[in-house]
Amino acid sequence: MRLRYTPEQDRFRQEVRQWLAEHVPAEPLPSLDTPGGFELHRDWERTLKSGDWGMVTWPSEYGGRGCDLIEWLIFEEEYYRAEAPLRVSQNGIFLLGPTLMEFGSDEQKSRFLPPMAAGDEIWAQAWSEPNAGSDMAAIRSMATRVNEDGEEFYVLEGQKTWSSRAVFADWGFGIFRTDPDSKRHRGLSFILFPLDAEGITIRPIRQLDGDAGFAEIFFDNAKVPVANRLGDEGQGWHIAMATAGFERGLMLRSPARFQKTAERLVDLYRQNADRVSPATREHVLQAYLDAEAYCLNTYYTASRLMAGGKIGSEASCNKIFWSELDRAMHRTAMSIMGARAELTEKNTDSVDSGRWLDGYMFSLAGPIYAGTNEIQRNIIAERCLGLPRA
Amino acid sequence: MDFNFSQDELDLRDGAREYLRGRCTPEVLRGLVENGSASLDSWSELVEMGLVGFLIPEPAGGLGMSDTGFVLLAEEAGYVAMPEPLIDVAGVAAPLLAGLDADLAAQVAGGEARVVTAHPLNPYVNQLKPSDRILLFADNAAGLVDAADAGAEDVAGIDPLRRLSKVCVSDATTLATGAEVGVLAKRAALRGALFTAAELLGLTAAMIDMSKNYAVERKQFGVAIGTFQAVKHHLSTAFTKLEFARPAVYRAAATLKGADERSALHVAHAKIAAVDAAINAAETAIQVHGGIGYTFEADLHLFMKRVWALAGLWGDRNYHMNEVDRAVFDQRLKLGPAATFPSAGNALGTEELGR
Repeated sequence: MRLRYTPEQDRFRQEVRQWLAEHVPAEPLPSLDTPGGFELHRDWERTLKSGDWGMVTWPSEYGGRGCDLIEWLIFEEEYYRAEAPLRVSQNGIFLLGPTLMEFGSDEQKSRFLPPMAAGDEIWAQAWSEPNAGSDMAAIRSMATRVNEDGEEFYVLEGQKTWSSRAVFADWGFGIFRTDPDSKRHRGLSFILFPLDAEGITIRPIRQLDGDAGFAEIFFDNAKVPVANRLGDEGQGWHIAMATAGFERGLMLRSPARFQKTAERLVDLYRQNADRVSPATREHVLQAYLDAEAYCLNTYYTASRLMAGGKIGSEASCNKIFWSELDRAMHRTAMSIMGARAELTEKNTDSVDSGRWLDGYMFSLAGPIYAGTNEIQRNIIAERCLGLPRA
Repeated sequence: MDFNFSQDELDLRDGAREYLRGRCTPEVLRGLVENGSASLDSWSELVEMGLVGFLIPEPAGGLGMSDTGFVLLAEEAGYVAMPEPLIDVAGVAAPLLAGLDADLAAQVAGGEARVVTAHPLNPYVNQLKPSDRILLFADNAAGLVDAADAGAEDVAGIDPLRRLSKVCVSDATTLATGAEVGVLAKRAALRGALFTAAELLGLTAAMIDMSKNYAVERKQFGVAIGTFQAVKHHLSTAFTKLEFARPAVYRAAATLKGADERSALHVAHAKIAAVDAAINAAETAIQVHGGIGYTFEADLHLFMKRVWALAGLWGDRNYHMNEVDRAVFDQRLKLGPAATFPSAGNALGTEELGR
């Protein structure tokens, strides 16, 4: 056990730090869930690509740098340290990307990964349906295989919902029922589709903050080539679970994000130390410890994976831990700001331009998205502890 | 950067696990309690396996292993609620003796002598035998005293497998004076808290496992109670707390060596996380067990009572939270991303601590 960076890792950190210092926009970008903000975030992705920082863990042929997991964590630390913009491409690079790497054909990887890393194609995810939320195996959207003039297509029919980024994104991925007689987890296939295809309608849904961060997607006789299927027909559930594993495991929320929030919370406390209670002080210290624990757990897992280990159902613990930590930190911040807690960015009096309030609202989504924490607790109980299914 | 244990450490852990789970079963522990005894009489076996001399250098007859390896042993000892004072003797006293009195350290490793620790943060010596010697930390001195001369007085505690003695020494052989005492006392306190935290991890895992087993066996409404989400979610929460306490304990062990400025902070984090996980697991376990968990007959109480005892040893939650408070607010610890691990060229705690 050696908990110290190597000289090579230090040099890598310096390179990232210097590049970000020269390129990160001086002013925060507007929300990526607004039309203008989305395009500015896309521009930022292109800037990242110009320095080959689109997705550092990918091989160079797909626009990456072939970095290992420790280097990825270093990159993320520097990224949050520099307060660089949110990754508008996160559904693609953190979720679909690793899935393509594992299940995609060479053609699919060459076709989809480079524009994903470059921000030229931004991805939305399309898992949930109106009657398939936590019970994702209940999905009913269909993909029917048809042959037209010797070319094979899937005809998509149905409806997806809570599709993050779908309002402004270019492509979507999700699972569809390819076997009409199938039930539950069987007969599903993983399909990629352009959001501007004929027969696809997007209806934006305004989130708690008023912006259209997600949408409903309606499919009405939308045709996509069979080559847009990832993996085998009927393998969709298996692939989707692997994607969910990446999501819950390492990739979606790197520890740097929460360490940055904990650092801001300590600063907020310091500015208000003379008027808040000792209990609040302990909440602040606990936030520091828990953000640190999440970082330690991530490096511990990364080391294990690099030594040949596999990530398993314990990934569900990560999702519970970071989402509940994020909510607790923002709750504490809200409790410190007193009468100014309700002020939004449009007020000159607002604390940190309303960022704590925005963050608190978003933190309430954390225990819900990427599989609710109730579902995660079921997974832990059944797969890590071996308790019987109901 | 490598957060993995060495193969040696894992092999020794596996050996200790196999031995302890065979030797120190709940049946054996219950037998001891029924007979009014708290002694497993297994010290010579622990010596034989090298566990007592684990942290003593090889030239002095030990295994010359490191704190990270001992953490794994302490977890295993916790998992079976072992009554022997392995952590006191092998984890705290032995590595200090190795630097003070190599002959005595060799005798400890070989089982001819046994030295336990009395410290302001560990005032009630556990499992003291008349033939033991006590490494004693007082205000301005560190010394050795024979148990027979220690004026030991029995103190009753809730854990039937701990035997507590309050020592009242008038005369001890001085081992260190002046500034060295503070250094030694701090080393003792850090190792004591670290290995106690590791023991708590083991106890936590054991309580989760026994609750899981009970939830699979016990039927109500015609099904195993473990099918109910209310029960599942209690146990998943306990498991998650354990998963996030463990790396904090391992990191504290890996950075203890060299007594860098962050050691105390890392140990504080380890102890807080382990205590919180253990107390939560104990309360969860008794809830999952229902009425049977509130009896003297079920195994659970032996583990739960050990947790209550260890929670306050070598610094309780408040003591360690004050340490975190000092680091964060007084010393203005560098926070945020990229402040967790040191860079290659930097001794921990110098650049990191200022800002």
